[in-house]
Amino acid sequence: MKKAIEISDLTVYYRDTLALDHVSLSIDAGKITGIIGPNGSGKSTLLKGILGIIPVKKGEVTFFGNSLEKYRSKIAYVPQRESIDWDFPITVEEVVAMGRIRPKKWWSRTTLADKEIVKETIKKVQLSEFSTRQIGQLSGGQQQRVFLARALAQEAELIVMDEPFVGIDMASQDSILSIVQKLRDSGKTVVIVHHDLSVVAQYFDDVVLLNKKLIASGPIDEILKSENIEKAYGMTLLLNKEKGRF
Amino acid sequence: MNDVLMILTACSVAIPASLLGVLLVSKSLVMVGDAISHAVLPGIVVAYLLSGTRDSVPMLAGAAITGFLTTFLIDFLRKKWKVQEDAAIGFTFTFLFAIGVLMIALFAGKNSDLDQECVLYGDLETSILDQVIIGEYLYGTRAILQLLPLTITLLLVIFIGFKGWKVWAFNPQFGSFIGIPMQVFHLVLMLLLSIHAVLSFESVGVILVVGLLVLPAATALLFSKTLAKTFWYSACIGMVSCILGVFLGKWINISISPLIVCVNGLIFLTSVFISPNKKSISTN
Repeated sequence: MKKAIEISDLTVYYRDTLALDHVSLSIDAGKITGIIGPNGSGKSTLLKGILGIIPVKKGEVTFFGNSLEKYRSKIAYVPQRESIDWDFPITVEEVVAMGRIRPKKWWSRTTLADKEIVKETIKKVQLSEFSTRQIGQLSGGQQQRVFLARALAQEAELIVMDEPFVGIDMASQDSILSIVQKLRDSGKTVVIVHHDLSVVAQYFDDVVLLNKKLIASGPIDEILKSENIEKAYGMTLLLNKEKGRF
Repeated sequence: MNDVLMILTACSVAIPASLLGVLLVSKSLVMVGDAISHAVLPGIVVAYLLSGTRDSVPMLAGAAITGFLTTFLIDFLRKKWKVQEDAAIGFTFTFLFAIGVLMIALFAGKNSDLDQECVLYGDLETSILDQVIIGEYLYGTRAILQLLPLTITLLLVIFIGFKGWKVWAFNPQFGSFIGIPMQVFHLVLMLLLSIHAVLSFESVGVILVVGLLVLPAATALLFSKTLAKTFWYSACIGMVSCILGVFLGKWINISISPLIVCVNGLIFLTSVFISPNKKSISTN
């Protein structure tokens, strides 16, 4: 199986706190892989670390055998919804059009072909009727789809999404999932950070279980065994129970 | 004639301020704008002491250097010494500003044309007396002729780099990730802010200029759903407030630059009540 991402010995610190402890793993190309773990287990840190968004202490990452620098233009990153300023004066189509910016010629005008791609992409995520709306005027699920559309507009080979299913309605979840599955079926690789165990089996082909260290990674039916879950979530569940917020 | 000159001088400060303000307000950098407009003071004083004149070239150099110094100092305190951002900003600009005020008191003396009153409050009425007349023709006030090139540069920078500014203000992480040098945008903004602060302090002073930076932009944001519209609205509000300010000032015979800021404040307050985007400021 071709590897999309290979991570070796990734270690990340936030100030003095260890966030990721010598994580080594690989993610298969052409699959939907979920990165799963309890809150504070370093899932988002793993994503941001491999994408160079936060500094890493140690470790190496390759994308289809290339360095991040070489492969950057083929990666699309969908940020966590809470990291976005939803009051910012920008419309749906403007956000999606960002996906068509060429980094080396970022100042150039949007071409007609680009405009067409933007329109098509917005249609794919079923937001055509909202394309001139300010992004704050959308529901949570619609907002998430705007950023998925921007990633689609980038026409990337690898799509990386940080908690796309948090706080959105079922219809939107299904719609995002079906788009993601179509992406996979057309040969793209999708990596999704996700914290909720209950739906893992329907969503992902492979999973990476994380709790600061790598607990397990591989095909979903092999990994989702109770001992692994306990390793990843067990202590946290107990701790939460003690604090009275199970 | 004087009214027209007064309005044009006020607008020459307010238009670039309202455009810069859009970038500051939409990215929650208002405090940084406040900081820069105060922190350039020691730069101005040193430039004045070294060159002995209030010529714009040494003043601009002084401002640019202190502007960058402020930016780097804030960044340094925040990143290296882990000082929280608002404290880092608060420390940097009050410290630099205090040094500037002390330098004026110590070195510039009472008889020089750089005094504390002028720097703090500015004086639009006096600044229009500084006219540029070549031959028989009046070309404008010195403030207009100095701020016009800045305004044109600013418009070009915003227009040509518009996509970049949009990414920088909205989602810089995305910009950096795809490989646009986002830090350069920040530095360009700080440089333009520093230059604006120097060129406008004689007319409105370093305190009131913050009102011109923030209020038109904050009002414009209440009504617009795109960044482009925010720039337009903000510039228009800036101009209208200058015209209203000048006529009101003439009418009640009172100092004009604080009046312009007051008018801006009233426009903002009224807008908060009638705007469709009311929700957006309550959640910020």
